[in-house]
Amino acid sequence: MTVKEKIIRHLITMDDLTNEEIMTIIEEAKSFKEVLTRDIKKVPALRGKTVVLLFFESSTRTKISFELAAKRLSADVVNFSASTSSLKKSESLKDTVRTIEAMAADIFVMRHSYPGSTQLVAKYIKGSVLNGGDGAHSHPTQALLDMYTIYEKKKRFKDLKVAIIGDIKHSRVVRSDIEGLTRMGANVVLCGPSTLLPRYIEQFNVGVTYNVEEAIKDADVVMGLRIQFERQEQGLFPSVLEYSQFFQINRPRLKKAKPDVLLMHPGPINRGVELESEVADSVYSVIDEQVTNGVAVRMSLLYFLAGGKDEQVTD
Amino acid sequence: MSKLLIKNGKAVDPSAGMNKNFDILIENGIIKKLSKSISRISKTTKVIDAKNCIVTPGLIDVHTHLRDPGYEDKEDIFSGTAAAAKGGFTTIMCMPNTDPVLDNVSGIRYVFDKSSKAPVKVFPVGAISKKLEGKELAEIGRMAQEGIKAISDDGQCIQSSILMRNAVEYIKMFNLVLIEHAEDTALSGDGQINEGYISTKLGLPGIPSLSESFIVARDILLSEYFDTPIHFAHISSRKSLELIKNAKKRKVKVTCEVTPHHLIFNEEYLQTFDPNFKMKPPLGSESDRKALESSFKDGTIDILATDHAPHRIDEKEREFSLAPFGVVGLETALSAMISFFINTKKMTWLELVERMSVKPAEIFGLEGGSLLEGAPADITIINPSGKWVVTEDNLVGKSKNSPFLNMELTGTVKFTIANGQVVYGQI
Repeated sequence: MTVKEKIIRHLITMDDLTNEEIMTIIEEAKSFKEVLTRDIKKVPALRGKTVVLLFFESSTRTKISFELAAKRLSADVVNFSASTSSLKKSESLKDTVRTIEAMAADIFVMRHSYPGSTQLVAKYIKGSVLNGGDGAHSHPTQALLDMYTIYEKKKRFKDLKVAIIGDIKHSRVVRSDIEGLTRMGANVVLCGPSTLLPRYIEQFNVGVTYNVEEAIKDADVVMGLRIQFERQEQGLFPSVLEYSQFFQINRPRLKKAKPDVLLMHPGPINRGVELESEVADSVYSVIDEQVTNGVAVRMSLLYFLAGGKDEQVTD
Repeated sequence: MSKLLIKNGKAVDPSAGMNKNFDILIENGIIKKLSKSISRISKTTKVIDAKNCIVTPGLIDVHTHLRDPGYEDKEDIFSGTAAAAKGGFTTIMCMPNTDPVLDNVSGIRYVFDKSSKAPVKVFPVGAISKKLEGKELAEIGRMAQEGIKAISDDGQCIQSSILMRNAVEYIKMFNLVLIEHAEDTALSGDGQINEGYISTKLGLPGIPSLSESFIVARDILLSEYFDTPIHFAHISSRKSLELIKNAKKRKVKVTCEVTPHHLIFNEEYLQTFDPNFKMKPPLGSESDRKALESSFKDGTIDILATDHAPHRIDEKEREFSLAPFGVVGLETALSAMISFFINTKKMTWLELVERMSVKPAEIFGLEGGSLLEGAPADITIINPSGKWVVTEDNLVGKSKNSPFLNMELTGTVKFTIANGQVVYGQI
């Protein structure tokens, strides 16, 4: 007799997926996106499975996106929210997740403000762990939805110039985007103030410039990243006005990109800071589509992790 | 009185340039006789056969955290000294970051009193500033009268240059060494690991090596200005070594130590967020590690020290950024050095023993570091080819946060003898 045994898969960083698997998830997401346009936006793929949303850091879009994705696959969804500050004093992360798992959860989606926390949880539990963002470390589902959005419009990754502009240092999105996009042959160029570009970033197979026009020139994709005001308090740049003068993605600058450039942003946007408001609403902007695609990609990923495509048989 | 005879061992004593077979007779806690061959003198003399073993002056670790008083859940004076004895150490110095802080006479007396019943000799290091707050000087002179050899605000590097000036100037009156944990805390900030490729990849806040070398530079200037000895704890970066090397050329009274983990591991080990590689200063780049290795060999780095820093397993199991800094080291230091330095021919036994016994004694004015007749009978007997795997079960200290966990190391301690008493090993 053969025993059917599911291989437990985690998604902590983009390195956990092969290029083929990334393409599979993107391809599958297309059909899930179609589901989202139906009157009855629900398929039974995850019926009987329990997805736990463990959010130790506040989140609106990622949490809603995962929740909708899981519900549209007919999974039972449980929410757990706690602030990281209360975690310092209360029950340990290990005990929290073990307790929840003891109530028979299958997939954990986790957001945490400290890097490495998802990896830690993966050590303690038997189910799948899906990283919904851990500090400045990794945010693979954002990268997958960014890649889906790019692929849908451009039909390729190879040789696309993708300019990512803003606070590179504190961005988990950018780390996952770099991992995913460079592997697929895209040319990623990073741009931001020198204090918001981490040291050694040039070793990540990317171009680096402090000149926003040079970054945008002939780009196929321009992505803005959120500038957090607290970084100014930390002395990393002198003022929001100076930041936007040097780095804001505005109409004249965007003109230097390819005519069919895609403007992306993982949200939430600071209008008038990293993006000129008019640009955010321009024809180039696919920011709203990114959000829609996020649900489809997360459905595809949950389906994939629950064994939809990867059921392994061991003899 | 009890007599002990160590026979057939290879005696290594760099203080006398000795590296050959000698028998050693111990009487009344003193090395009574050292000779090519000593036959049994009386029936009551106990004999240790040290065939195929290396016999060295007892190892000395000038940088441990015994966590006693206040954190006995992590370690205490007895468990920590048991770990020391198992690791071949006969004398250790323990840091004052306890609760209450060892910043006054009663704290120092507490450690001396409690450790008088411990297997190895313990010298508490007094705090430089009251409560390690970096504001006012502690009663350094009164602690010196109690017998401390050094002062340090280890872990809480004094940022105020005027307080440091006063401390360095003040200890001129006493025969004390100031031990510096060099860290500019504004630069290290909320940093978790070395600022480098790995910190950028993992999205962890980095600690730039600048943080250490800033303070090293400051302290070299202070030491030179006041002609006062400063010893740098756990040096970790290439830049700091350059500064120290230069200062030594100018005959500035600075010395420094390195830990086994900084000599052996680099920041790559943090790729999996393993908290047992999280310490301060953080593991550096491979370039830093190589610089440490060559400076350890050429003597720029004077001594080895463990920075034995016990933490409970559940503290280390927290989110990486919440896990405390520090790793244990007393039980693995010697084996690690044999495995990674002696067996790889990077270092000779004479060189290693000099850095683990002779020089530590010399820098801090401690007894020991010698096998010559008349020296206190502090002796370590080592089986250089004994293999063991480091596991939580075979560490005797209370905490198990070792970066060497699950590694096989070569070299075991067969006997540790302190003041003529066998404190580790079965006769």
